[in-house]
Amino acid sequence: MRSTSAPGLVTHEDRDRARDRLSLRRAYQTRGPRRWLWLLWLSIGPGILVMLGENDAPSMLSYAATGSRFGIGFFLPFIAITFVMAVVVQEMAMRIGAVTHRGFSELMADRFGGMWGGLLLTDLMFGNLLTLITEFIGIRAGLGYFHVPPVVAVSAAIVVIGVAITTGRYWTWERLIMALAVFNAVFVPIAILAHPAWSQVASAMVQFSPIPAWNTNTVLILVADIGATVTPWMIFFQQAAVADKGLTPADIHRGRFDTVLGAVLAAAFGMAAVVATSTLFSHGISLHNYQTANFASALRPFVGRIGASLFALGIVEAGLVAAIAISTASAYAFAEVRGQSRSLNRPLKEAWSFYLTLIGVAMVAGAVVLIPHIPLELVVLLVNVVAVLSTPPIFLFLLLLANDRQVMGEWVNRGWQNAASVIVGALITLAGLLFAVSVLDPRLI
Amino acid sequence: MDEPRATEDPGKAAGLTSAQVLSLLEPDQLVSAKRHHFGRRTAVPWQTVAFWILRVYWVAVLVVAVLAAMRAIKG
Repeated sequence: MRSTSAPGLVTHEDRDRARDRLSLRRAYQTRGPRRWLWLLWLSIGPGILVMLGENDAPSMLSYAATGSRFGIGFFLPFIAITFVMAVVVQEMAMRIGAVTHRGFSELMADRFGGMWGGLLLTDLMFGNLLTLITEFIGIRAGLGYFHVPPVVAVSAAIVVIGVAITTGRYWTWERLIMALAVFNAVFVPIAILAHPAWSQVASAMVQFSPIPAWNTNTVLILVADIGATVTPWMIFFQQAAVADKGLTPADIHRGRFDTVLGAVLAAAFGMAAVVATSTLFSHGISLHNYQTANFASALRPFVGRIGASLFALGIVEAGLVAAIAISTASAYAFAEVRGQSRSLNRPLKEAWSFYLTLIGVAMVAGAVVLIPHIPLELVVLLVNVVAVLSTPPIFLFLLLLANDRQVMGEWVNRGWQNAASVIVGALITLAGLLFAVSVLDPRLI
Repeated sequence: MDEPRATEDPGKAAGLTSAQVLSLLEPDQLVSAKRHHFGRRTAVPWQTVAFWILRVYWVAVLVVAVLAAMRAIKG
């Protein structure tokens, strides 16, 4: 851990961050049962946002497809396991952010040189742009269920992203997006409306059964589920957001709670999507087309008009929250590598290039979705390829940073954390290799 | 324009003096302190090997991505 003498220059960003630290200090000084809750309320945010952001439109549609094709069974507890993997990865990103007060891109360039920093940034920006396009596809499709024209749907989403960043305050931005992210919970009432066999759900959770037949489709869904929960942008986003929020090593245990809470919520909502669409499987309806409207329309006889509408709205919410988080991750990373202002605590006029990147990538992605006859299936495929194959290298650098004593001091990974990381890294790499094989020659799986 | 600006006493505007801001933040949390860099780490032999493997991996990934795109375009 590095220590520097405190310079006399105090900026607007420092002031806003100090205000947040003052709130935390006041919470520390209170007594009674409210103290813990208050401290928690002030500390949570990045973990919940990153996990619920990862429950994005393609992920929720992938979970829905899993439910409709396999019903309630192995994939239900498997989703929970993928989120355990996500916690192992994201806890490291959170810890590094709290200890160093730096984003992942900045540290990467600092410690491993500009070549690796630039390469990972290019990979991230490309992957994020493609992923953003899929989020806008989800938003367009979800609002399309309510007959909202695509131009209006995409424009409305960009306006929401733009309004969120005009706050000029990380805290306000974080609370706004968290309020929006809470609506990811709509998949729970949809699951209840589907009247699943709860005993079957409990049995699947305990026994991991029935296990689906081993074939290319099963492997691709396994890989997609892993790819849906451990992705590069999550690492960049959470580390930068923790630094922007101003968390310090004293907050790490609450940061861990934040990350675990986010994972539990995201896993529960993801599993709810599987349970909701499992009713299609039990009625012999298997949807191979991932279109939101198809799912919503197919579910309507079983969950009613309200349930179907909630499903479509849930996809819109999932896409919107993810679009905000991913475009923010891009802006953080781009500004870090270029050494520019990179904080949501900065007013627009002081960090225009940061905000321009943020809204710019969202606008480009939104515009692509509106191009007539664009091969969106190709985009979705490339998103999966880029995400699954680029995660192992980024994970390796994250692991190296988490073990870098010069950067992390006493907060380096402990033995069990490295052991867990190696297992997760091996699974991520295996998923990447399986996916690569499936792309090159599906017959080999 | 895109550089951090120090106002006369921005802390005071939020009910905090600059001294209070400095006391509330860790020294390396300040924007001005973030201009300092950690510096390059020295890679041990196995890390040098790992980085070379990574370079090969990136090329392979590029090939897989291009192949995937070409196959998807061909339908």
